[in-house]
Amino acid sequence: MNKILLVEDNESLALSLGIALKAAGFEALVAEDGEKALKTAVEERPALILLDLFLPVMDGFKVLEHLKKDGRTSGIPVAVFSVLSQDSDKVEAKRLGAKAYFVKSEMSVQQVVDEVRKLLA
Amino acid sequence: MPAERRQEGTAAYGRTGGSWSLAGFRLRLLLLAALVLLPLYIQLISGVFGEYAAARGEVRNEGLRVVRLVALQQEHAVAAIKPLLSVLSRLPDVVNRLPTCSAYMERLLKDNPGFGDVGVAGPDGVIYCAGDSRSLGVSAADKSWFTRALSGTGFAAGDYDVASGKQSVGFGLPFDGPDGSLGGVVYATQDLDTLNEIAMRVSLPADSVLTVVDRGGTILSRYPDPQHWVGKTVPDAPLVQALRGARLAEGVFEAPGLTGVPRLFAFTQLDPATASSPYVTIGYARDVLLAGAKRDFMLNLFGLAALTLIVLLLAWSGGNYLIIDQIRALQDVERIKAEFVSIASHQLRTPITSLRWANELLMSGTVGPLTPEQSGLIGQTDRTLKDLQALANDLLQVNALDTGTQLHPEQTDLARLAREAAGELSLEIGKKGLAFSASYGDAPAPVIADPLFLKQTIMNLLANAVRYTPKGGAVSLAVETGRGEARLTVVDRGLGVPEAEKPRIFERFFRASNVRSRHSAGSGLGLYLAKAVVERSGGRIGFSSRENEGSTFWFSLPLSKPAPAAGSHKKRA
Repeated sequence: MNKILLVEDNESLALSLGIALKAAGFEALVAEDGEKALKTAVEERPALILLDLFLPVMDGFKVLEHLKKDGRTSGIPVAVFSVLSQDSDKVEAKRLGAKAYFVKSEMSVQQVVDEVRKLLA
Repeated sequence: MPAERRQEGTAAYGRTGGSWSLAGFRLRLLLLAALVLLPLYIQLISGVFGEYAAARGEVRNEGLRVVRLVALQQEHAVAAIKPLLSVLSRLPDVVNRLPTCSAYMERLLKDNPGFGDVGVAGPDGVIYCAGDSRSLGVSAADKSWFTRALSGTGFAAGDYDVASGKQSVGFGLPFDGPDGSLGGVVYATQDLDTLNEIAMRVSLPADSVLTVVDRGGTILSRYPDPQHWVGKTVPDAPLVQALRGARLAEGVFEAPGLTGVPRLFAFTQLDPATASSPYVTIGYARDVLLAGAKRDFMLNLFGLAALTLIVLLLAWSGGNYLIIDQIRALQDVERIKAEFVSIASHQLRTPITSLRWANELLMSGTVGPLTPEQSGLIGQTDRTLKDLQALANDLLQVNALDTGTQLHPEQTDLARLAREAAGELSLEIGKKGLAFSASYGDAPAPVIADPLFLKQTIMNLLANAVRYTPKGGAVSLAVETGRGEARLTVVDRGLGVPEAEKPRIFERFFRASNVRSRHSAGSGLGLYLAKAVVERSGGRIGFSSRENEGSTFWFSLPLSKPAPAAGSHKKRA
């Protein structure tokens, strides 16, 4: 079963997406802040990381930077997953090595699941 | 919210910058301050003209006095000649052509150095008696003093002329011979060197010149430098041209002098009684005359420039203290307000999204089946959430446009965006059982616009049509191209816009009264945004509507050249 690491501080969002991913046959792991995300990524080696940008302790861009610098996690595809839809953020995320950029407020939960499937195909 | 996060949010959302610049305002403030000094500049310039007028006045007074004096001296000289000729015409030596005549005249000439010659010409014009022996036997038949003396009845003045290097004027008086017939004409020629002497006597101001010139442009007298000028004919000299053009017997004018120096001239006729009289002129060097005025002007100009500098500095510092700082404070308030709206709208998106997703999972049955009542409630909640999300989106976009955020125009396809928008609203259209017809044309409709904002514009127009058309009604969407434009039209059979409210339909937050009373949802921002986006993209927007019958909203954008490869459109998330 593919493990998906969901880095999201909004419990309600994490819960809904977790349920949807589970229903689609994935194992969903949740990290509420940047530090926990890095720790879980090293320990669990997920197949994909869905990374929010607004995070407590360490923001999403910094998390992404660390993930890509660390040899143990640099190979894990990361999809940035934010409410920010500004071009500058998208450019920055791509520069730091994100594989995809989703604006979650413009998507349904099913669309997110579909995108995850595409990324892992 | 942790401080770090809030700070990041501010940095990310803080799109500031008004539609007008503070620098432009400051410039206008300084211009206004400078404007206050304008009367002083006008006064300075009019002062220059005043000084010039004063100089002309001085020339008129002083110059005319001098030339009149010269003319008067000449008049006296001429007046003295008349009785002299009268006496001579009765001398027996003259009347009887005695050989002693020439000797008499010679003595007379010696005693009066102002004369060029004195003598007598016979009725045929041949001079038989003369003070200057070189004149004897010479014919004076063509001399103007001779012909005029004969054609008249008495004393006649000839023309001023320059003969054999000497400038002179002749006078003649006819007399009867012993037999009562015409005996001849006694004459005297006056040497005009005397004019130069007069000029010396009237003590001309420095750098001024006295010139006597006849109408043909021949210089009869000039002081200083008479040797160089007298006898020369300069009909094209500006001085001569100006005298020829003069309508009055005396006056003032400005022209370059014979040496090209700009001068102010005063002139009068040397002999006002003669129509062809030469002119006597005095010319003052303009630079010398206006030197004082020039100095005053430069001093005043420097003073005024310094004053201007001080006023501008005061306007700068005073403007900062009194106005600019206040505007900055107001701008800060505007910026903070915009940031607040931006952050609030963004922060609303996360909870709205989480509620939508939870609803979606409930409705899809992922977490178990729902009763019909539960399903209905969740559906209602979902619609409300979508309205709320639309409001947040509209607020963000309005804020972005208001704070001067640039759109990102690129080559896009209006037909494709219309298809996508219709697709996203298909659920609502289906739920209301509306008859929806759409035509997107046979080919792409390429335009230059920000695809994100343009799609939102289409969504806004179409969502309004869907929202305000009763169940079972009809809505149509059409994209067509022609006459260099791409045009999108949305037609509904809905509530329509009340006639009186039509002018306000594109205003921010405006919602028509008939819509307000039936639908609580709606921000009143959709059409405002649509207009802003279309117009910023170089297009036009409009509508026609009848209350209770429906509305037609349309916009058009200039067609652009199609992209080289279809489907090369850069998709934005």
